[in-house]
Amino acid sequence: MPFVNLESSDGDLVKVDVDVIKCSVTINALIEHLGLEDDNEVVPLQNVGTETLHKVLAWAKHHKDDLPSVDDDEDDPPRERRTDITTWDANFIKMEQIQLFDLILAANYLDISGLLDLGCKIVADMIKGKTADEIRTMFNIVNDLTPQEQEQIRKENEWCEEK
Amino acid sequence: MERTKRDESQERGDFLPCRDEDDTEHGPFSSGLVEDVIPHVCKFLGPKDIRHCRLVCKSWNYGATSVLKNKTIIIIPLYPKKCRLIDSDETKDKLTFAHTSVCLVIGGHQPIDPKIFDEITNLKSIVVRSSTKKPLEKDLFPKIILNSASTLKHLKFGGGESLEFPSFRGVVFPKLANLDLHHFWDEGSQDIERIGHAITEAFPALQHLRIAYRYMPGLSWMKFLPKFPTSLNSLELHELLNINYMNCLLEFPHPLKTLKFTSTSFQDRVDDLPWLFYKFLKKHSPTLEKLCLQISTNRMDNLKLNWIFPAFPVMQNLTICNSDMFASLKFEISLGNFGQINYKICFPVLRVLRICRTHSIPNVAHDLSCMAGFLPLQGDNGCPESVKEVDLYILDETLTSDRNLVKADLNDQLLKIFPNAKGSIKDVWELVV
Repeated sequence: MPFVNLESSDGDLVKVDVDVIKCSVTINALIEHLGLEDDNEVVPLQNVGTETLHKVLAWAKHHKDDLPSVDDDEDDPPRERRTDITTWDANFIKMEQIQLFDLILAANYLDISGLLDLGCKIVADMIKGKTADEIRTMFNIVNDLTPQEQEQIRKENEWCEEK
Repeated sequence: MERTKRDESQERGDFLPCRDEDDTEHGPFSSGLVEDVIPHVCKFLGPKDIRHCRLVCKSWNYGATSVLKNKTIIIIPLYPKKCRLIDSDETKDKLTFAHTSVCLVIGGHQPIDPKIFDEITNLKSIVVRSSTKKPLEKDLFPKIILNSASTLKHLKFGGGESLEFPSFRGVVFPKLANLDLHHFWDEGSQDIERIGHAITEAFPALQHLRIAYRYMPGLSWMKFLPKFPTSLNSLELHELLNINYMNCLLEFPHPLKTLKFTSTSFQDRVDDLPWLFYKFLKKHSPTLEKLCLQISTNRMDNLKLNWIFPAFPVMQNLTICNSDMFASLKFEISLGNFGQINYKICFPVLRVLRICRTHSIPNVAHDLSCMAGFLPLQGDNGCPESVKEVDLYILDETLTSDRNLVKADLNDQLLKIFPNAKGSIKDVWELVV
């Protein structure tokens, strides 16, 4: 079984079964590019801390036998995505906001669509039914939109009608 | 210094993330990666929530806007609204915001200044609707469509009376892949002739056709069906089907990968229905990857059909609505022989199975009988190993207090039968076809 060594941004090395991390498009591409003759090959991940990396690997290990997800028709505009989350995933994703965001950013960087979807579903659930003000408070975001820009956005929002 | 740079880039229209090095107390969603992630989050939100996201800050607006546009439609009336001065500025602003996807509505008033559209030549998606019985200006929307002939990918004629299908004679739309035709209430043979001509000559790259079934017999009589482009591999039929003309579907020349019957219903001769469907499905069975049958008969006598399916060697995605319409369900096990389902033979690569029982029959939602035809024999080697997802929609209002218990129990039963699947029992129908 081939292995690859991943180096977190904290400088820790983690030896990973290639079969487990194949869900990451980024790492897959790197492995193909580097070749895998040498088991001591190290892939540096500048944007992923050790703690987050271990979480990513736990998720990837649990989902390693999943088939790649098929998108519904590209012809059809994407409707409301399916939002059901398995019990395992629901337990896995219970974590502090800051860790959740690190995980989402790691999933995005490593291009793991299943994990990115999971994290984004959780954030979407937090946002549902909230106003812009409430969202800013929840995530500690500073509003950098000018009153004119906000007025323009409101106008554009009205133009967007339900299909 | 940094501020100046940022201001410049905003003038160019691309937003920089709201990152400020002195200000470390901002949450992670203020960091530079946010634009990449916001669109993913918005995928799971409805238009109402996405509108709020756009108002959070610049980078959220940047990330959320395209998702909102995808999920909504920007309507451009081709006539001035009542009680308003002619507002060509707003139309221009709307066109700028809509970018390449618009919905044009024609109405009963004098049209707006057509010059506004002279420079609009890069539209990718156009929906046409009519809001009145007597539209005054019928030439403007064909002109807008023709102006974008080289870029148009998606064309839809939505509902509405008194629309006429324009003539596209002598024009080629090289990128048009998706055509969606609802029926026009007073369509004549001229419309059908123009539709046939457009599909066979003007749209050489057509892939997906969604069409009211009522046009099919006419397209058959006018000998258009055999000339449909080879690229066309996805067909969706809707509205009332006249079973007497169902054989015209057999003239469909090229192998289909996707076939959907959505909201279709039948009137007479329904006893022949299973055989007519079998013949049509059999013809496309070697290539069919996705099938959705949402059909019903409008006979009130609880008619039950003895249904037969051919084997589908490459089928990945199967959706059956009204599963309680079948008195019996048989599958082609070997040429001409029909029997109980055997997934290895009938659906060797099926990944997604969705069954919906629409009619609410009280107190029978506690077992899987409504999908009995899709359950393999116990201990049989035709076990549905390839199936990764099974959804059963039970839609039973009598499920009340113990709803979740019943659902969990049904789910357990499903997972025993489909060992590799992620199952789910739903009591709300969402049409994901």
